[in-house]
Amino acid sequence: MQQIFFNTLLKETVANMNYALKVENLSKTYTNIKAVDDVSFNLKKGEVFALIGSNGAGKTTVLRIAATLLKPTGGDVLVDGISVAKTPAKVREKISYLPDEAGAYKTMTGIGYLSFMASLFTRDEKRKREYVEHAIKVCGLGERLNDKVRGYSRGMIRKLLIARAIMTKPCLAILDEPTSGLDVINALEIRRMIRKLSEDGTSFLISGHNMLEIEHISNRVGIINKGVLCAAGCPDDLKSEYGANNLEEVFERIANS
Amino acid sequence: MKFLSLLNKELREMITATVIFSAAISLAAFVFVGAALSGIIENSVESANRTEVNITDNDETSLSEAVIDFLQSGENGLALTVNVRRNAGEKPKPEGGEPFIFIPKGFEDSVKKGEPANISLVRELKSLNVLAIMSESIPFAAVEAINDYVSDTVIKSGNISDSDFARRPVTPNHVTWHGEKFVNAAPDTMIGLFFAQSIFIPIIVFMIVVLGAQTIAAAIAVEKGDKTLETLLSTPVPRLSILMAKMTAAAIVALGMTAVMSAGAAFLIPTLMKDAAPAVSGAVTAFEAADILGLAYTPAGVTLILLNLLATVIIALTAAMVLGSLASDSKSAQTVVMPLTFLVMIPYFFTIFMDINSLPPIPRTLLYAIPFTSTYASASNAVMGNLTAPALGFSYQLAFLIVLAAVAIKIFASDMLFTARLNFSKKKKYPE
Repeated sequence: MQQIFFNTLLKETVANMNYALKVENLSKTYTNIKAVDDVSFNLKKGEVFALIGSNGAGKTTVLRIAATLLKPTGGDVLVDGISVAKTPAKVREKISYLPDEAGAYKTMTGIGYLSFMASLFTRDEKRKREYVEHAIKVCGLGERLNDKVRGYSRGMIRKLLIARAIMTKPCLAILDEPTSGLDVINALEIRRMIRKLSEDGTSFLISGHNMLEIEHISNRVGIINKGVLCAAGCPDDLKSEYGANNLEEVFERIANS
Repeated sequence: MKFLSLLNKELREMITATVIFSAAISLAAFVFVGAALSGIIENSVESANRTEVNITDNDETSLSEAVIDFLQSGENGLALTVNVRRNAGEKPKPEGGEPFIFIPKGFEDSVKKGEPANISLVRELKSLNVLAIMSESIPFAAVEAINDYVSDTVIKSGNISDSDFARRPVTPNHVTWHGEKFVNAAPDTMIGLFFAQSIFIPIIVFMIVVLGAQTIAAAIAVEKGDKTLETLLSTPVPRLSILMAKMTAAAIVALGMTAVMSAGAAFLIPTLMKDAAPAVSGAVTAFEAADILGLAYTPAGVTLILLNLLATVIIALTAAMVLGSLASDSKSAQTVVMPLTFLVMIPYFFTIFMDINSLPPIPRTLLYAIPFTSTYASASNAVMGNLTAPALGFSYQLAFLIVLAAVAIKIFASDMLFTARLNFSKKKKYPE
């Protein structure tokens, strides 16, 4: 009996380890508002999963729960098999989170900011240097990294923050609307950056409401509306399932149904 | 018309419910302080205007008797009730803390010889606040009346060799008792000296609370607004470390500010002391008088004052951090810290004007419930030799700080940081 129990547990653990993220029957209620209602999906390692939906749909709440900032009211989120609800501190070692429209410390230089953030992930100086060097390569800001963040444009800050988010090569990078507010060129560069990093093995959970953009960078998408995950799958599968030309049309049909 | 639209928009942005709430708190604070102080001042004025005067007559001569009769007669225009005590010993103490005029032996002899005759105004130093001096105008008026009477007597006798002596035959001396010690000096000189020595405490507390607390509250609110706090909280760093780093940084900034203020006070105090020192009575200076009465800062007293001060600073900054973390933005962070400023002001006003320990139990408990009250009273208590009060005050401050830190930890470890809002103008906004 005991042997069966341990075998089952081992199987489940191994199965969970194949996923960078498993969201299981997740719910979040703020007083009487149900922001997330019984949401379940998963994300394989090296995959880009995008949550799409209109403003206030519940995307950020799901991301914040995965980032251990909010506690779920029901269900759980497993990151690399570790429970967000039970052991959030361990989850933080596996993830990095980039909030929507986040800033960086304005009094620091770009390089100073990267170095400071790296020091929060490791005490080992050699590893810290590796993290910073990786971020320098990814962000492409060159000499401007020696300037104070105060003087950066929005696009430069976003590049810096994305580089910071992936410099530790996390199991899961959670990016909330990574290209929001950016011009076409900057948004394109960041999409390419995410695509390349996922090819290198980083898993991404991203959110957005620009569905055409999301279609280009995601392996799979989840469409969330009023806190409920209405559909999830590859963009092409969803389009054929709903007889749509693009994800916008898929969303329109789901929202109107 | 366009101007009115713009003005309307500006006013709507500036006059928020948070601002109105803070203004209401401020008004309530002023009303509370005003009501409490008006009662105290009325009592003092009443006490100052009372018609009773105590006289201890050790001379027991016809002149001293005549002086007492004159004061009792009503011819002096003061309508006094005079309580007379005789044979009270060479250095009598105030009975029940009441001030009295002391006519020593040899009073009449001195007048007869044409020498200035001494009388003493004997008082007890009960506390080191302004109202302690206010209630003593009658003894002064009585001393003047005695001088006028003796002057008339000298002039009527026709034996005037010295016109200055005829105008002022009576020389009043001041005697102040504290415990079993006395000194020939007026208590107000020591109160002045104490004020000069301790004035830096409210200045430091004010500067730190007004500047430090607002800066920290705004910094937290900005970090929250920029979402750098979210980033920080999602890293593998214990929440307690993040909080402790913020609180330690706040304490270091506060200590730096305290050091700067203290250095400023070190320049300021000697200047104020110069003014205090010449206010002498008899042969002693204010410093010597305070020394004779044992009114001095002992190492234990100074340590307790500094501990109270440090606890005040850390409490104020931690409270500001909690308020700042619940503020919706940096603008409202400035406003939500305002009540904290008033909590600093209320005990300050009280400690200037009165001895808090003499208040009725309810207002006294309410005042001591403010964790800054003990700090203001600590200097006075320490100088007066009462070390229990600042020690108890510090213990209360520590307990208060532990509760406050627990609240801060709770906020940082829960959803509250992202869901709770100290914004009275709008309904709670939740993240999507």
